[in-house]
Amino acid sequence: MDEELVALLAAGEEHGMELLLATYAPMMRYIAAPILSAPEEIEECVSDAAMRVWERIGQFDRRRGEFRTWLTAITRNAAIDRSRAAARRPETVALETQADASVPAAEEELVRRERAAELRGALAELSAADRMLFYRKYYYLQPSAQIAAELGMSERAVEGRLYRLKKKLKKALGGQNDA
Amino acid sequence: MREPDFDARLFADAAELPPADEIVHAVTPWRSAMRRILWGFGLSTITLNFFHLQYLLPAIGILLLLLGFRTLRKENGWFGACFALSALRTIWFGTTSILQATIHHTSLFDSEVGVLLTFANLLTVLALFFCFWRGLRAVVSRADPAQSTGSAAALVVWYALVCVLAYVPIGGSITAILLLIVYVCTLVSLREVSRSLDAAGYAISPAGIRISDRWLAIAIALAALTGLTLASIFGTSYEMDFTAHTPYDAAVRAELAALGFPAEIAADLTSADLAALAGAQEVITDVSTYPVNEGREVTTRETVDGVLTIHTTTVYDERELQITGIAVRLAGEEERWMLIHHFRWLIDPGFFGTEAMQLWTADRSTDKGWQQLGELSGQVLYDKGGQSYAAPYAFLGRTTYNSNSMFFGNSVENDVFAEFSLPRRSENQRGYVAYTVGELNDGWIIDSWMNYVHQTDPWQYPAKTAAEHKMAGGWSHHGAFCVVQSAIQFFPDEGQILE
Repeated sequence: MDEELVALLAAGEEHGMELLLATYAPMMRYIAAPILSAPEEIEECVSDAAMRVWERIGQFDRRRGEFRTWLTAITRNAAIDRSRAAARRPETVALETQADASVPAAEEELVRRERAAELRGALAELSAADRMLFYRKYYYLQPSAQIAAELGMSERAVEGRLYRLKKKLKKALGGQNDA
Repeated sequence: MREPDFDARLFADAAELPPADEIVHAVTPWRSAMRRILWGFGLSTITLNFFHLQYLLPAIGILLLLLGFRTLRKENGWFGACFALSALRTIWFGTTSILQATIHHTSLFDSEVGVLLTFANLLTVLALFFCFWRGLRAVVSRADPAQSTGSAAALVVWYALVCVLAYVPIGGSITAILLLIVYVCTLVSLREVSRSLDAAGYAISPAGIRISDRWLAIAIALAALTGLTLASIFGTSYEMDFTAHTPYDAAVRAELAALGFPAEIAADLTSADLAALAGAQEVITDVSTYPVNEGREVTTRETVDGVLTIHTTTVYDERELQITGIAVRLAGEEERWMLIHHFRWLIDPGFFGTEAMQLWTADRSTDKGWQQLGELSGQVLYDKGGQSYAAPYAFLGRTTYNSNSMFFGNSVENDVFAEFSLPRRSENQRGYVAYTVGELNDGWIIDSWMNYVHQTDPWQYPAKTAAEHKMAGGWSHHGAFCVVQSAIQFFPDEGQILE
């Protein structure tokens, strides 16, 4: 089905947009919800993300991952941009200002790549369950209560696992073991 | 690095590492719950009758259903009902599983209340399938109303058919195979529906929980294990009413001893039985000892005329059980014999759960020679600290049952059973069953058999009594029991035991 959808979007068919929203709007809302609290913000984010897909479908490369994975990244970034714009998450804005800067300084870009490579290595050492937890917390920005409900755990257990996860990562990334 | 700084670094760096496809697929509130539910339906509805899988797989399946529906319980009312029904089913399954570790489960499930509860459980499962279908429909209608949930509806029809066929068997094994095929196809189709609903599933809000799935599963497993252990310890024996025993009527016993009646057995008789034996005319006894151990194999080699022959025989170093058959011709003009089947444990074999004696009485093989007169009698005894204790049997009487013998096929039997339990710390365990026959026609053999059923293993699931084991066709060393057979056979006119 994704092949058909991508083909329609690439061909500039409006039906492609309808199909995109009919198929993936619930997932896009799911991704945006932890980042944007207001329902109207979430709906606007879904529209933003859909427009980005429409505009950038040419950049989608199947060899680098599925359409759903690409759409996840686009939706997340759209939500974070909207959050930054609304200044509702100052701490996120601070992070993403750096991460999303369109023309980063060369040195900053180098440091960012090095840190990302380090983190990729550290994540590879984690168990699949811990890796999943990391992505839910730090990529999807899901609150502990949501993670707990979806994984069938108590919030306290999630917090405990996150604490141990951070300890492992801190150790792997060369920091002190005091997280 | 301080924790907030490290957190900020992880948030920032994670943005540079988009997740892999498998993580994107796994981050959904729906799939894990649906997978549990589908596996739960599969495991809890089909049973494989080997390696105890008929108990283990449904237990896992019912637990998966509970956990799956717990996640979805607040999504819509139908899924909420599914959760309530699966919780009810978990309680029912746990209770019946624990009851099956006791010897009382047959009588409980055969009672009117038991039948009603079993029927209610069937309806619960049917309601669960129905609510699941409606819950799924509610989720689908929000995302893609055109999407079919027919496979979930098919589950409802399938289970209703299974229930009907359970009470009105039609078509035998072919129907069963067809139903199994339909069920597997339905589950496969349901899995496809679940996959196609992945997008709709993102709209689901899982319910928060206070106890994690893992701890809930551990708590349920521990509760079940505790219940099973307690049931195995306290629910596998009969309650016996043992009281101190002193031999009755020395004069009659002396009279019997003079006729050859074993004195130690006469001391075990009830006062009523001794009274009935007063003035006895003749006593015939047959004593044998039997092993309940499995012995050891001894192989001997013999060469005769250049041909090597290897013989393997089982040798029993110990014979723990002594069985004595006694026939006493009673006083009076008419020919009447009291037949006594007595057992005595010469070596304590260890007593777990229940023991039983099955009698094939002298009037069993033919109704022409002898007829039973009066009631069955007897008691079970043991010694402890130099004192004898006696108790009536937990059950002594005739039982009608369906027998499925490999030799005689299906038949309805009616045999005498004496059922009892013995204390573990006791000595000289013994007992007897007696009955009287009167002559109908001259010249017929007296032929009375006793099958002693001893429980050799405390662990059996579901728990069976020794009598139930025998009624189910248990023979020799089989399962948790061992059966020893003995008989007293003689022609009264000849007064000699047939060897």
